Amino acid sequence: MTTAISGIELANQIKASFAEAVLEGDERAVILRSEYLTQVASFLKTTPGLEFDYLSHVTAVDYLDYFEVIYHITSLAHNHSAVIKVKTPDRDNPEVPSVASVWCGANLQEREVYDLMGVTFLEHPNLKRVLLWEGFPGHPLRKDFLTLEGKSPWQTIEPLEEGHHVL
Amino acid sequence: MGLTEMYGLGIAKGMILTLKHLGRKPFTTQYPEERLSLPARFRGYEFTWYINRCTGCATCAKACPHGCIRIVTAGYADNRYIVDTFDIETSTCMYCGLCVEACPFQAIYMGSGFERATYNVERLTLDKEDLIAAPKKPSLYAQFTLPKPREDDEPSLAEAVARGR
Amino acid sequence: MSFKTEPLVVNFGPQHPSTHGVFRMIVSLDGEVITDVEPVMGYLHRGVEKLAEERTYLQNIPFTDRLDYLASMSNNLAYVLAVEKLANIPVSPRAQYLRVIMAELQRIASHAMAVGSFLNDAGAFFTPLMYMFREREKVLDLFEMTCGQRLTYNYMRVGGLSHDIPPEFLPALGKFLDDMPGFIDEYEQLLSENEILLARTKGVGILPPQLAINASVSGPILRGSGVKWDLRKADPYCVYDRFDFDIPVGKAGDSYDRFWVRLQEMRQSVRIIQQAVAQLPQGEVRSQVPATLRPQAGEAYAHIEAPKGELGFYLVSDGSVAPYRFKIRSPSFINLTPLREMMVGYKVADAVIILGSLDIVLGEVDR
Ligand code: SF4
Ligand code: SF4
Repeated sequence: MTTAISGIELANQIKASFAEAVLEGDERAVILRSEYLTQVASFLKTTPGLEFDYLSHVTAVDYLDYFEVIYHITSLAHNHSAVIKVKTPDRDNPEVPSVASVWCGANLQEREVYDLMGVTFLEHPNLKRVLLWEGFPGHPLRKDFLTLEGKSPWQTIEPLEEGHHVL
Repeated sequence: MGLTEMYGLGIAKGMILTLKHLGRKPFTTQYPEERLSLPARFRGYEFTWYINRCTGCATCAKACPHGCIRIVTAGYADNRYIVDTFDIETSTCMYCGLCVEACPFQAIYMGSGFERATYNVERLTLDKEDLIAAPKKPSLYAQFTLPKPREDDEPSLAEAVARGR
Repeated sequence: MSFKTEPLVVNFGPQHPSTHGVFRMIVSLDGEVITDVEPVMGYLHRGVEKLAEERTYLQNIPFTDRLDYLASMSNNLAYVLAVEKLANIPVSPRAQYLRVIMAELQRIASHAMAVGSFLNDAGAFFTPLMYMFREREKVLDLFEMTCGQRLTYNYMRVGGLSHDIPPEFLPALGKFLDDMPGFIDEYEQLLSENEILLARTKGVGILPPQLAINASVSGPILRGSGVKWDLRKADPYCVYDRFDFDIPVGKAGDSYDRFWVRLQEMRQSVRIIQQAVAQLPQGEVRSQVPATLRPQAGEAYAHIEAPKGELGFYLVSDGSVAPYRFKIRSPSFINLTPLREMMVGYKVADAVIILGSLDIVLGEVDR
């Protein structure tokens, strides 16, 4: 059985190395300050006893005032898992550092979050839209995304000069 | 490289197996001439709708994830609504069966057909007349308890119940 | 002797038989050698995650069928497990066992398809695929008699299953289980020693275990790289902890190992189903759940070992009838992360084999 490490316990371990990094820790998750995310991620990955080497999944939730980016991490060696979260300061300019340099499995998943939720991942190697095409107006998984101003999605594709639409 | 790899023995073994299959009976059926018998729970086209049982409560319409059932009622009599319109837009229906599962009066059933391709998408909308006139072959999908026979039931329902599951 | 070569960019897809759907790879070549790969996806994006936010928990089950359409049962299972976790709903033992039986039958069907189409990509045109279809067909017949459909089952429900199995199910299943090991032997005889297949797949598309873990790949691809990680053992859900089975792992992490792991997993699935049938208890298959479920506000993540890898659903509830956020951790999508690393350096003809060995389903990649 994979043991879920409680956020409180993990928060204490992180605090021992990065006193500032933790915003709060509850039963389910640790909420980090976004500036520290990359450092804490490599700490979690390399510290003996934790060794979270497998990033199960990355996602984001739109809470109307802010976005929450959620990372489910697992250690294959110790068979334990944890959840870390980062809140963006506001809704207008959501930016979170990328963890793709620590776990390269975040690469496509962060692109997906960027595409559908519009959270920008700083220092991501290749931050482009992945499921929708370049030039799609808005980010559909945001709660305020309702329509394409009366257009059907196909009408939002603007042909490039050479006749190619998307990449 | 092992001995077998050098001499192509692996391919020869595979060939022997292929040859063995020559003697076996085919497991395919020649479709329009031969037909497989469908299981009792098959979820197919042509919804079977019994107007005598339907009370116009629209539970099925609310249960549908796509909203492809449209019900308009006109008046209330005899402890039930009089159903004026009952349209099933089978072009968007995904045959999930949730409407059948939701109906509290066992008035709607999945059908047992699958050969209803048309050239015109509008013909895929089944309206009240279509549903009444349709050949009724109710499937027993989602009938957790078989419907109790009633006097005004149509014979096809009694047959389906007799067939059981 | 060296030839003078020119870089060339080739578009694989989106409409290409080897991509198993609408998937595009922009492959840069130097002569015949791949120098860069960029996957382009989204041609089948239907916005399931957005659609699900407007539908009730029950109405979302048919949508999960349409993700990995070769393994709808597994998708159903992962989703209902997440809802049950969110709303704390108990499941009866009989339903648990039947869920295991269905999920393992689905694994056999999905792996049969994966192996068959992989061999198709390797050039064994359609004959092996037809062998595999023969077995998959029997599984589909079993599903059809249980839930009325062959592809989109919509069978699992929150709190159990939609129906109990019909009386003719267990005899038919028993016959299938008796025959299946013989068929797997046949495949092995036909394929595993075939020199052409070995030459085409051994040492092609090597994914080292460190990279596999770091790139979050899962399922047969991770195990093909030699990492013994299977959620059925590591984090048992349903009643998987009551069965005795092995986790086959590859050694080299090449395309052949991934193919071999899938074949062996079919054997193990047969073993699991046999044990589950022997232990199958009697009883109800669906616990009492309100027709419109309103879980208390909170979040839940449930994952299962689907045929393609770790399939997870992350649900956030705000106490209303529909999920506030519905996120699918789709294995096919994430398994594409190391595609570039796996392909660079190989010949262009190997690109098809490597992609085939990943066994992606575009319904799940694009959602
Ligand atoms: S089968 Fe499903 S999609 Fe079709 S009408 Fe019924 S509930 Fe709607
Ligand atoms: S739920 Fe049944 S009784 Fe109610 S309107 Fe639909 S078919 Fe008629």
